[in-house]
Amino acid sequence: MATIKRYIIENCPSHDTCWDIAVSPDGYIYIGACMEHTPGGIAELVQFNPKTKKLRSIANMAEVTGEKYGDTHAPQGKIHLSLCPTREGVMYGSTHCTTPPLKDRMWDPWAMFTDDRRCFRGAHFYRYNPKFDNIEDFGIITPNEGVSVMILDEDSQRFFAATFPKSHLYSWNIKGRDIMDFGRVSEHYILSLIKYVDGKIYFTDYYGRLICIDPKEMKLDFLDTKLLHPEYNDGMRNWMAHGVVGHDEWIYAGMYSYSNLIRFKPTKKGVEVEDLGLGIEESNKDKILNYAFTKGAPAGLILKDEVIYFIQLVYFGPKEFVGSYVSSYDTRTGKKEYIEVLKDVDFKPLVWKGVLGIDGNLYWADFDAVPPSLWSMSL
Amino acid sequence: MEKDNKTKKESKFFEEPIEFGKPIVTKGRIFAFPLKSCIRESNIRRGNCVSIVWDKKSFIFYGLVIGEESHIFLFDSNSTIEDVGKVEVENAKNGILVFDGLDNIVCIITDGSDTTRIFTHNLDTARRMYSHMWGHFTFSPIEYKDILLEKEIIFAVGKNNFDGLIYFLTNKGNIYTYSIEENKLTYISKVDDKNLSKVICFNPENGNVYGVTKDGNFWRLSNKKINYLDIWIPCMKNRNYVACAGNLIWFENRIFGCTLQDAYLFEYDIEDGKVKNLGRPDENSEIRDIDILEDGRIFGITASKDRGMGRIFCYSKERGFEDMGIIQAWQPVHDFAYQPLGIKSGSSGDFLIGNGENRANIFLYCSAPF
Repeated sequence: MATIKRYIIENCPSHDTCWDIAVSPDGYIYIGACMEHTPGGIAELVQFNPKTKKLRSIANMAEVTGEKYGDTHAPQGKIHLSLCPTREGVMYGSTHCTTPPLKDRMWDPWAMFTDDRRCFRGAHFYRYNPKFDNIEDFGIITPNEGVSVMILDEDSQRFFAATFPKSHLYSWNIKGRDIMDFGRVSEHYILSLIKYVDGKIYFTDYYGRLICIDPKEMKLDFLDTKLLHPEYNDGMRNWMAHGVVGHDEWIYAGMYSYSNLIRFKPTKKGVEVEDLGLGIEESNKDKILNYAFTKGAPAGLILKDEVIYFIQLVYFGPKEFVGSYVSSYDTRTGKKEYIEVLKDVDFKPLVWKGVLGIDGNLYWADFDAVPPSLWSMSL
Repeated sequence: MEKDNKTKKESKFFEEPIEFGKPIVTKGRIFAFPLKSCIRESNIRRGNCVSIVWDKKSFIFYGLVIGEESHIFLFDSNSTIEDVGKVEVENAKNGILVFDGLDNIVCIITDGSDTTRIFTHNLDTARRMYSHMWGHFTFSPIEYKDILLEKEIIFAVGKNNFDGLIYFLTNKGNIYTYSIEENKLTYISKVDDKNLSKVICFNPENGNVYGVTKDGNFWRLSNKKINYLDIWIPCMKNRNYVACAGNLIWFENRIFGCTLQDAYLFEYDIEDGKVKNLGRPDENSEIRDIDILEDGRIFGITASKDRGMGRIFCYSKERGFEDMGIIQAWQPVHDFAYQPLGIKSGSSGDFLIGNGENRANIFLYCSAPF
């Protein structure tokens, strides 16, 4: 029987979205609390101590970046999928845009991009050291653009990151210097970068086409493989949004617009791709679960003991179906098991990324609640 | 009875000529094509689409993508894209295609070590295949002509219809002619290379060559002699030290051009010797390129130097500037041109736009009728 616990991020009473969550080797869980829908809002880096079960604010991104709250520019309102812990427990991150400037009503990336007064000044790259409780800003690394996703390749000691809105792939060193722009790699956004056992980093573009970064050679390879997408379209808006590398050397992935969990394996002959099918047994007659696993998409993948735990996320649709349905896939046996829907009394959160805590619990943070919460599930 | 009708209809389909070559589009729309994923068996890698020409005989666009590898591609009006082949240079810095007006494309390209080479590609095969087997192309090779210039970077190329020669300008200000028939390169003259604009155009009546240099003033090559004219391209006050032209096009005894520093469109009347500043199309800081339709409408692409964000505009005497919006397309793929590099008109007012960002993507803009 699973136990669900909810930790409301009370220090961020007006924050509305948490896209990123990361766990460092010392056990701390870090959450990027964003103010995506509040004009002028500023993101906050939050730390959760799994021993004391306490949440605390680490840093306000306006203070970190030295930007003035409430000026005409689009603020440092988000920390997207950019939290990167090192082996030593130091946390790196970047800021992201799409929060409208104060007094504006909505974020319009292309209008704002060319407007000198309202534009986002750029993503800042920062480092938090929990030993000294010290945060250091390395300045703007991508002018006028946010960092939508970032990964640290500890072997080459370089970061790889994609920007929004232009979807350029960048790389910089651990001090945010020696910045290299590989050019644009996707039509629109990138949501996931996965380090594989061959030392390469894999991601997809907007159409789910697989692209590989070789950090040794600092080269990109555009593979002739398109990951799975619904039959009714050509794969548009279908990034690999979540992924984990299993012990069996398959990459298990959740696509943005595809209902089933998939897996793929880069080999010398090419890329093998497998559809793992409906997330529940086909004999399951439950109406809500059938809706969730045919209309939703897998998110928040976590690997624990050779089992993939994931959320079947139903974002749109009738209210009774919307929610985060926790399920599992055993990589050894292929057994699928529905566990439970995330819930606190009547509140059903929508969660995005997940991590495995050092206490063995599964953690997710929600992206559609004010204030947001951290959710824990013990199995 | 029904069966008979069906048979008759099928037979009619194969016997009657079919009018291919007309795109089914809505005017005013933009279409996007990343070359890597839109071409079957494409070997085109990432790179910048720096140059496009249009073949009047077959209604086909040819473009050049430069980067680690350089390729010439083909784009026809039914949105067929093919990889014509590789241009054998490495890490090209710049390259320009020019149509010889007959049956060849000349590709002048500078590699990573600043060596400029000349290649040609004969269009006969592609044209024949196009007319007989629409959509199925085979190509002649892209031939290296064994001509190279060391430590010179290609800046601008054009065909002078007066003498039929290809003229080109390098970063050192040297002007050369190339004769495709004789496969001969001839040094002609040198212009001041200070702040040299990467543009060149020709007066078809007397063969004079025009360009822009030295803080934005025009030069003219006439009888192998360079004259610096007391005529400047427009720029904001005290900014002449950065005055660069984006393109020059000869049209009805005038030179129309655009600037890269202030995004001005201008008109130079050769007869009265005056330049008229036609104004600025949008808030972007550079007009990267323009092309002119037969009805006199000028279409151009703008962007800002670092931020990019490509836009299209149209200028006509009757309506002035019209902003056609950002270069964003939804079909066949959803894509943007943040760093457009060139625009070329084809038949019936469609334009092909090449993009930078090391992306190897192109855009088709179908203009509405006047």
